[in-house]
Amino acid sequence: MSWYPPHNQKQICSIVKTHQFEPRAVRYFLIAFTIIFTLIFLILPVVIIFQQAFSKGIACYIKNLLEADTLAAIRLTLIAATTAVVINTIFGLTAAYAVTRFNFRGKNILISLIDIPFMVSPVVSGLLFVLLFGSKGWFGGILDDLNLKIIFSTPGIILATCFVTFPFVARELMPIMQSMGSEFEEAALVLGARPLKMFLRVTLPSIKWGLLYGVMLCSARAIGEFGAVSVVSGHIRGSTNTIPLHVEILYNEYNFAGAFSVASILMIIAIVSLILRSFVENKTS
Amino acid sequence: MIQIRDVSKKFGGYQVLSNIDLKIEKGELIALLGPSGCGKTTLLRIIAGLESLNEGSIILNNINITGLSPQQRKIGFVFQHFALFKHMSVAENIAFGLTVQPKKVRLSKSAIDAKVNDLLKLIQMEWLADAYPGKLSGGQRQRVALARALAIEPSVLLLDEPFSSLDATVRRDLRRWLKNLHQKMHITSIFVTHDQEEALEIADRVVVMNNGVIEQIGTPEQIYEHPANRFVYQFLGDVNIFRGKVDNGRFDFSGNSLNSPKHESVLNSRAIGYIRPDEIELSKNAGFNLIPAKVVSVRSSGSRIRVELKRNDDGESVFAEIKKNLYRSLDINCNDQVFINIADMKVFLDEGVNI
Repeated sequence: MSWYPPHNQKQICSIVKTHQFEPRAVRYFLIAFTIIFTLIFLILPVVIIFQQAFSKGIACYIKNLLEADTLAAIRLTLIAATTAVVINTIFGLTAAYAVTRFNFRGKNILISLIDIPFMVSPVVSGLLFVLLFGSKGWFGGILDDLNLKIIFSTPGIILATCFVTFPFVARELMPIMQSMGSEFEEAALVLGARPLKMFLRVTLPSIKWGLLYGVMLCSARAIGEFGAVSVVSGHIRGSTNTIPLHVEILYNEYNFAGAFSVASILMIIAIVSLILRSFVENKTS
Repeated sequence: MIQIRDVSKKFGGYQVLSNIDLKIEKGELIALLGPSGCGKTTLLRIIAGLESLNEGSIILNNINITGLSPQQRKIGFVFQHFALFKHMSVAENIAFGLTVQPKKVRLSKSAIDAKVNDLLKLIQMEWLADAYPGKLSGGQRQRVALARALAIEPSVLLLDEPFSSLDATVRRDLRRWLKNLHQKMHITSIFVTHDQEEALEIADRVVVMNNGVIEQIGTPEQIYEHPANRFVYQFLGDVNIFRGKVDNGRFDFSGNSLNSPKHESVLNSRAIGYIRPDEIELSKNAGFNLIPAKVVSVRSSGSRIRVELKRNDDGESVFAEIKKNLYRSLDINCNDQVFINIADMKVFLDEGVNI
């Protein structure tokens, strides 16, 4: 069910039957091509990011990171990402439980609807919020009367981040809870556990690695989101800029060292996620 | 004591159980026997409170528990695949039902430990207290599941196909072990099975079910020797079928005739005669009421020999199962002419029972 992203790395690594029928040359060519292509297209850019970030020395790198606008961007990103992850985790648990434990009309449609953010371009998602909450949008008038600001402000950024990361936890949990079945939960109930105890002591421990994996994917995407956030942000330096937006601004100002320094934060987060991911993957399979 | 009163259950438009009435005495070991889809597991789940019912009531020790939630019923349930909590050790699994109790009524930690130890001793697995279910064999898992269910001191123990996911040899040992345990503890128990041998071997009484209704209730001997109808007879083992008709206390088929005293007042009705392969006697000499047949094949199934025969009268196949030494003394070979004795045949009127 979960098609995005592929996470059966461990299974792939341990195929038992390897092909024996290709000539040695074909085998070596395919392997070598894959490795070289990966090096050029993935590893080289990563190296360049760090090389550029440190091009004016370590002192300058640190100075770039500690700049007030950069710190503000980091802060905003953390706020938006944390809120999105918390909301989507609660939603994901609820949705996965509802969908895998109850039968109701329109279930399949609901499951497909959850995927909308995967299908829609992030820019469109951003525009959607502008149309809803912008000064000329549907709720613009009401928000103005209440003196509330959503677009070009933190709430808008949180909303956009939530929207694009919406399916991650739910999508990760659904197949896990489906294959877990309800026998364990029934066993807990028959043994006298109240529903909440059943959930905390039986359901949650059984799905914890999958949940963690979903949360990680959700966080990575939330931190790195550009398109949707860009539309609702308004690019106000030190106020409505997230890390990715800040990188773009620095870059457009020809401050390459600064742009790459901030970009290196995203890169480090990505590398840490990758390491955590393979660790969690080992636990889930 | 548990009473199931007039219980009916529908899934969508499909009638899974209709008007089930069953009374189980304290300390009895009951088997619910039937083919898959006959509603036996649904009935078990209804008793446990895991499934709702449309009509009827469940009375446990004179208390109507129909409306109670599963956790209020204090009924032990052993699941088909055991449902041991993988993230808990054997001891934690067994203790689960005690540790999830609300603080007010929960036993002290030392009392729980003592109880878990007693149960580990009972299932002879003290040395595996800290092992995780993933490391256990099927038989061990089964015993842990049983200990976990017994920990809450249930008044009834329900077991859903308790042996179906085990190897044949483990199954036999565990069956005997469970029977002994039941004799020792005398806890009212109901188990679901589709294996007639299992039901006949360990149950005090067997409830044969089919298509959501009870076909017969009785001791293993009553069920086997005096099946109430064709379904029960056929379900309890291999059968040979002889189609014919009954008239005035006689069963006539393909030119043969047998006495059928219970059909004395029946006139000219279609009927079917049943006989099990091991109730057929073979001989090489012709005689009164013996049916001539030709040997088609001879196969050994361990201690017994299975002989396939073809009747001379109408060419129908008949299977006989005889002991090895009888087979040797009879000296039967393929294409031999033999005579089969079907005096033990049971005759039922052909009323179109669904089988």
